[in-house]
Amino acid sequence: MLAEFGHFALLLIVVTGFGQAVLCSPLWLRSSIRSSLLGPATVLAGGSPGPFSDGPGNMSVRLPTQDLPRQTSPYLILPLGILVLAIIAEAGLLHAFIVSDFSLPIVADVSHSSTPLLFRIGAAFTPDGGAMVLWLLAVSLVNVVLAIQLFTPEKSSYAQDDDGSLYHNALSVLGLLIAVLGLATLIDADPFLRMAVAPLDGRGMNPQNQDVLRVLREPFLYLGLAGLAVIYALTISGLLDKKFDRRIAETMRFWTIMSWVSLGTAIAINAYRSYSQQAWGNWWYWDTAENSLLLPWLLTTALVHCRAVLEKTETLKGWTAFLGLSALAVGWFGVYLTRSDLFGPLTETLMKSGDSMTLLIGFCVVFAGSYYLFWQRSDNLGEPRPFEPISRESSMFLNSVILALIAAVVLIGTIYPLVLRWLGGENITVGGPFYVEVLVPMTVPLLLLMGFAPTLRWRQDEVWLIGRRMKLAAILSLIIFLFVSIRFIDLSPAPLIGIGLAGWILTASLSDLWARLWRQPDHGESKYRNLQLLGPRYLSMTLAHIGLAVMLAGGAASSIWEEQIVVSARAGQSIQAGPYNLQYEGVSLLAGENYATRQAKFILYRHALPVTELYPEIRYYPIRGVETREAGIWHGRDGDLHVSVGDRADDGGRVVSVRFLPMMTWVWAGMILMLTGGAISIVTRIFLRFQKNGVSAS
Amino acid sequence: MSLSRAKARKRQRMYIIGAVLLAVAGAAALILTAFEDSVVFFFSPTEIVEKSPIDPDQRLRIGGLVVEGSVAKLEDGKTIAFVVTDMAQSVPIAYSGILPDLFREGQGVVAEGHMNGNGTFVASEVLAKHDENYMPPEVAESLKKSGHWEEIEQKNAEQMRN
Repeated sequence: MLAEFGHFALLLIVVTGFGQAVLCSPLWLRSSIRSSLLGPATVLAGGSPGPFSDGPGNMSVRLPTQDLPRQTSPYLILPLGILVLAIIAEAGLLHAFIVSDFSLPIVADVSHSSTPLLFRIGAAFTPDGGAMVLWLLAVSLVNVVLAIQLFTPEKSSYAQDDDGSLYHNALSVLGLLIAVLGLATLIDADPFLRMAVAPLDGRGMNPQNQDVLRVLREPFLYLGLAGLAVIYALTISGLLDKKFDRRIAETMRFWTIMSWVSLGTAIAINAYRSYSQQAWGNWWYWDTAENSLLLPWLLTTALVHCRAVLEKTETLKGWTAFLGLSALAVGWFGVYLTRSDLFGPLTETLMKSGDSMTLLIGFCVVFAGSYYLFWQRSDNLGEPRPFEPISRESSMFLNSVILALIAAVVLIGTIYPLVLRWLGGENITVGGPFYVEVLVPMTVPLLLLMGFAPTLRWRQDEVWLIGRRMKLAAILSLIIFLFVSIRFIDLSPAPLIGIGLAGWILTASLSDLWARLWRQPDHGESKYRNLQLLGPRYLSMTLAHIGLAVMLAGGAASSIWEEQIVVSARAGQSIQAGPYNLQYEGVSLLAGENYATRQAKFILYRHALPVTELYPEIRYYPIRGVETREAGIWHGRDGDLHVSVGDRADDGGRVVSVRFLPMMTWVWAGMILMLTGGAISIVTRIFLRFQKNGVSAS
Repeated sequence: MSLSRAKARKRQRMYIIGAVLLAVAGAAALILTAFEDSVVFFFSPTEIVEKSPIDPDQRLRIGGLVVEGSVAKLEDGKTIAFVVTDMAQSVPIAYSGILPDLFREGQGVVAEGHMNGNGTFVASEVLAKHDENYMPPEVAESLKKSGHWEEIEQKNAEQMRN
């Protein structure tokens, strides 16, 4: 029964979404109908007639109420209503999964009565329909947050000439997006359909998704995409108003970082998950699902930088607007790409739900319209203040151009084989080697830039000044690079260059931090004051850059010095890998919650001292009749030890694959550092926003 | 003042357009060269047999169904041999390492590697990621080409029903 409520709520979301799109749209607000119709409506909704008319008199209406939150009730009620409806829809779906209501085909397809509760909930996010409901919920949530953010502006904002239309446009665009997504959910893959005859039990969750991290990935992914929707809405709103300025940039700040962190978390989870599933064994594959996560993240990274430039100097308007539109476009297209069968047969779980045509049509209509608008408004996006070729602005611009080009390469690499096959041409695979060959030369200038760009001055800087500032970092990183390349002269150059560049970013970031902490005049107070003066923005940026350097170094090192041993082991046998020694203790048959597992036991020694015990498994899921292999991983200080077991070998032993990946721990630590950097920025932002005096976070 | 400002703006636009064009051209050149030498071609067993002998240095992918009963371990205990077919032709494959979770006889598989001199495909990687009834698109394509797609579909549907 709850599912029917959910279904009805989904329908209402479409209607209310359109309602929000119309009620908040500038056309409606400016028309005379509004004054006759909205008057009573606002009274009904508990507010007084809104101060948002275009008439010259509205200033006098608004002035006395400056300190109160503006009368926004009618505009808050719609988003709140949509959020409640989205919660009802999600709750209806989750309830069906929790109680295993197999009369819903979506439940029968991906769940089973023996699936543990957590994974029944997780299974609700994996099929098309469930993912769409989650996406809707995320967009409804950010819709409310945006409404609150817009109607309680910060004191520090550049809101001199604010007539409220930015808010309405943005909410109107978000309402439209919600309606389109709701329609796509209902038409493409309605999750609330019922079957006349319910099967006795479901077909079970895909065992490869049965993992706690994997379940967490979906909420992060869709929260990130929802953040991109807000950025998109704000961009459109600025373009409509012909005021794409620092005020928009300031409003966007929270959303860019939020999306960046959420998408980054989803990517990190994805990487770790493929790494710990032995059958995949590596952490990046360049497959369609991964690329469709990477694309929006790359553009968001570019946007994080351009947005800062826009806020500071009001330059790069056009480019920032273009990125703001494109980030959602590639995110949306990626979602479509992973679930459409336009380009070939799909995985079986998705096969049933058809071709996601509405999602594609919605995508085409929404973005054709937005890019047309962008083109129309391009005259208003000129630069008010020119900057020199050697300046912070131009370095940020160059950096975002390279990031966007990298995204373009990834997009081309993903789509080209599909298009070629679709056109009936040759069957080709674009895999790791292609991306390495193209992306390595492209990232080199990006990473070089990353070292000194944070120290550049705005507007204008001098080469010799940069040289003086970067002297120490350049010398140190050159030493590192020369050392590794002479020491390992016979290895392939790409990872060595990677290590050198990681050294460059690390030393450059640290020396800049050092200079800011200790070279500054210390205001007669303690050095701790200097740390405070740096501000959360600088700290989170530095942390993210250092994180990238650490990750780069780890990835390069582990790819060069990886050791892999495949042996047929008997109980008691010991296997040497790097500084570690593994003693195989045999396999025991155990029962998991909904699987049986052959669990191998290894005792790990480092230089003859026991460190830990590792339990790689082969799990058998009887519902689907599928085996999965979980690796045993030890994150040691000198690298990861990755052990997995295979079948019984003919000589009576068991096939064991042991890999020692030096410095692999750095990759995970680097990812965590980057995300922490972003999280610091978000948290201080929220914290400062709710502080009474509202000091800007900088 | 306004004139010099307009000049500066024009110059800036020139810089920006120049930099972007340079970057785009560089990326395009990189993509084209990479497409030339690091794209891996996919062949069905029939195509392999038709094109043989194939240069052992060329990296390629082969996809098809694993012939039932063909999987065997060689004497060294680590190398696995099996035969892949598109129902018209078949090619023997040798692979050392742990086979992926979803590798099973009668199921679709994609292997990457190279041909050795005696008509055996030496795989360096065997791919069968995704779930159990997943048919890699390339394999589906090659089965369609050899005209055996429907029977496999039917068989899979039957298995699903059981």
